[in-house]
Amino acid sequence: MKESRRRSLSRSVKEAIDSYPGGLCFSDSQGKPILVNKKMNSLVSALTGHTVINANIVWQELNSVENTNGCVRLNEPWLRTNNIVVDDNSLVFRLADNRIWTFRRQKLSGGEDAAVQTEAAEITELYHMSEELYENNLKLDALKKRQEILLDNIVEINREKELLAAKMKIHDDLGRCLVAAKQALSAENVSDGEYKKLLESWSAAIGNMRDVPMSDMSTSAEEELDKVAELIGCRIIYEGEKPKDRRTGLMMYSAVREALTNAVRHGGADEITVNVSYDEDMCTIMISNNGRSPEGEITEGGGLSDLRKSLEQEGAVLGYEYGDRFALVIRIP
Amino acid sequence: MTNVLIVEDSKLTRDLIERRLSEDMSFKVYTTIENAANAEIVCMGGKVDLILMDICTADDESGLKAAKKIKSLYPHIKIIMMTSMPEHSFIAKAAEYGCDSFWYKEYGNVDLLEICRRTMRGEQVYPKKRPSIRIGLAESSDFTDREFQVISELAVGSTYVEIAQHLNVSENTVKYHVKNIMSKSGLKNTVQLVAEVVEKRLVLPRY
Repeated sequence: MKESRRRSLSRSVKEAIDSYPGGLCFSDSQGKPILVNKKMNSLVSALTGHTVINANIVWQELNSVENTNGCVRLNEPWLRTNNIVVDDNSLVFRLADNRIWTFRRQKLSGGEDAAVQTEAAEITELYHMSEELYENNLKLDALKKRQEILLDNIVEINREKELLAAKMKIHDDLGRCLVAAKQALSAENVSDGEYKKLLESWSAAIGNMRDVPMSDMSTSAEEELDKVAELIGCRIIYEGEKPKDRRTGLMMYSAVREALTNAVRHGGADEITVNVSYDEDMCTIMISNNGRSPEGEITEGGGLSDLRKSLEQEGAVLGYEYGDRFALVIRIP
Repeated sequence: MTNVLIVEDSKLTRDLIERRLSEDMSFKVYTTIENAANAEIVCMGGKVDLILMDICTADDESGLKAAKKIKSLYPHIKIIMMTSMPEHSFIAKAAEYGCDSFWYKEYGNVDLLEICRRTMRGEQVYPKKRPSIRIGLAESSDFTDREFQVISELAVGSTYVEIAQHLNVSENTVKYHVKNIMSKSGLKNTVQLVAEVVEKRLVLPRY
């Protein structure tokens, strides 16, 4: 009676797990199957050519499947980033019917000899949605990059627009003057007042035209720094070859600007020396002055700490030299 | 006599400003520069009374940041911020940094010389409102400051979680703002939104 009840219970359990839509296999630590449902056997059969005889061997065989009987192992990197493959105990396959299945193996709690559960679940819809998400993310990344470029250039684009608008205005003014002049020349009676007004219009249009630059080119950063230094009674002397690339140049002039401000304000300097040297892939810029050196180590205020931050963002390093002449030292890779 | 420092990186605009100022003998252009970061050095000479400061200047230096520093060191120097950008936060930042006046080069209907005179008399001359620019189906004036902060964050590529951290609100609040923005603008997605606000210069995070 007891035996019959036990058998009946076993049958019920088997029927229950057979009705489970995914694959299930429970085995001991040696791989001996304890309970395997029909779906798992059919999936393993499609992938390896046989049903589950030993779960450990089956797992090894699944790991070596690349392209068998129309079944393909899927290894795309985004499977991990999208959490479809969570660790090395997860495998994903596309079966011959184009459905996607994931296999996952984990030890059940209970120590070294604990039973092992291997589970298979169909993730066809999840896989395609994740694939779409991955592709959309790639597109978004590309758009983001384009957006960053646009953000970087929008000010320059605006500058060009302003210049164009100003040139168009002068073109319009000149056009109006020409029309007015033509009318005046073809008319029979033109008063002195009208001639005077016409002359004024021409003078204004020509004056505007004379002042329009051929381009909106900036004066160089160096020229402007020299100019402002001179306004506060200071001279900047450059030694060595100045950086040719814009990025290094901008970093150098930012540092010179900060050094100039501090040297004049705190040290009473009237001469700044900028020494530029190169070794291998490094440009070293040393900025010293003829003013009073700071007493003891300097405390970085807003200006110097902002300079340090902006240099470090570009991979450059800011340091100090305390000698006869205090110097700011910048190393730019 | 008021000594004026002009900080403007467009030669054309600089010339136009100089010409306008020359019509009033009480203003004298002390010097002109293109990079706002150099303005502090010019002020150190002690001869500047008024600065006409562009916001987006040479080498991407921000006139607003320069003005903030100058106002903290030389509060007696008057500063008029100038811009042709309808950017949403410029006016508020200028006021916060203590700038005396604000002039829109393109959108304002107040004459520059008049602003200079009034500023030197101690008045603060600010536009009553920002220029309204179309964003999708809405006008830029339809969006709240908070919504613009969210748009600015989206423009620099922040995720909802990052926006929530930066603005010190919950992620759900960020989603709520984004939903409202999208509903007002009628745009399909945030990428479209960002493209539009950047193209129309309503958001310039660097300045």
